[in-house]
Amino acid sequence: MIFIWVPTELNLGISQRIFYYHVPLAWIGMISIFIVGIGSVVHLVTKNDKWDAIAHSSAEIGVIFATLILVTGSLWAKPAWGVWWSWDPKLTTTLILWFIYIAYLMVRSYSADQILARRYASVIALLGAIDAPLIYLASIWWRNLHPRLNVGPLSESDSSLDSRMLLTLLVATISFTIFYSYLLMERIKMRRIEDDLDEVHKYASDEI
Amino acid sequence: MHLMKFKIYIFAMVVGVLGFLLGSSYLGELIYAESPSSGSTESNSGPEANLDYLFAVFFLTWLAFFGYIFFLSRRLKAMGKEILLLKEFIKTNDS
Repeated sequence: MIFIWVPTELNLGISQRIFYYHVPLAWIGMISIFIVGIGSVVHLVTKNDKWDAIAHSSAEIGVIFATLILVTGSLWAKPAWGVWWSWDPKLTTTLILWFIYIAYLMVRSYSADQILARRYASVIALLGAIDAPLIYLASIWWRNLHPRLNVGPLSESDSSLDSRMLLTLLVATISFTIFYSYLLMERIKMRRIEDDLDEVHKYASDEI
Repeated sequence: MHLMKFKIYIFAMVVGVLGFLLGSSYLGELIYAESPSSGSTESNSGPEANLDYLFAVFFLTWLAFFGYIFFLSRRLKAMGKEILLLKEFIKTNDS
C-alpha cells in the first residue's frame, strides 16, 4: 500500500511516504511508555513482580521504537526542512522520551540491588508517562516546524488527509500495533523464564 | 547475568545518538539548525527524488526489528544452554 497504492503528496513528493512508518512508530512509542508507566505504578503499589516484568519488557521494545522515531524523523526532516535535526519542541520532547527510556534501562542494568533498582526505574517511567502527552500536544502548544496533527480528536479540521492516505496510515498503525503486542507478549514470557533461571541459579549456588 | 549482556546494546545506542548530537555542533547547519530553512529543499525535482530517504527508512526500520528478534533468539539459545547445564548439575548432585 505504501509503495504502490497510496497517492504521492504534492508538496513533499515521495518522501511523504515516510509518514506511514514514522507516525505508527511514534504511536507505539507512546503506547509503550504508557504501558511502562502503568506497569511501574502498579508495581510500586502492589510490589508484584509480574507488573515489573510487563513494564521492563515494554521499555525494552519501546526504546527500539523511540530510536526509530528519531531516526525516521531525521531522515524525513532532511528532504522536508533541509536539515537532519532541529530543536523543535516536538523533536526535543521525543529526544527526552528516548533519554528516559535509556535511563530506565540503565538504572535496572547497572544497579547491584535489583529490588531498589526496580523502584527507581518505576519512578523514571512515571516521568516518561508525563512526557508522552507533552510530545503529542507539542505541535499544538508551540507552533514550530513540525506539522500539526492530521488525524485524531485534536487535529485541525482543514488538515484532513486523503481517504487513501488515511486508510494506509490506519493499516500501518494497526500492523505495527499487532507487531508490538506480539513482541511484548514474547518478551514477557522470556522475562519470566529469565527470572526463574536466576532463582534456580541462586538456589544452586546456595546449595554449593 | 542476563542484564549484563544488555548493557552493551544500551551503550551502543547511547553512543550513537550522543555522537549524532555532538557531531552536529562540528558540522554546523549540515546536520543541525536552530531555524532551518522553511519549505522543502530537495523535493519536487522529479518523480524519484528523495527515494533514497524512503529506502533508508524502510531498510533501517526492518533492520532494527530483525536485529532485535535476532538478539532475542540468541538470548533464548543462551537460556536453553543454561537449563541444560542446570539439569546436568542436578543429575550429578543426585548421583
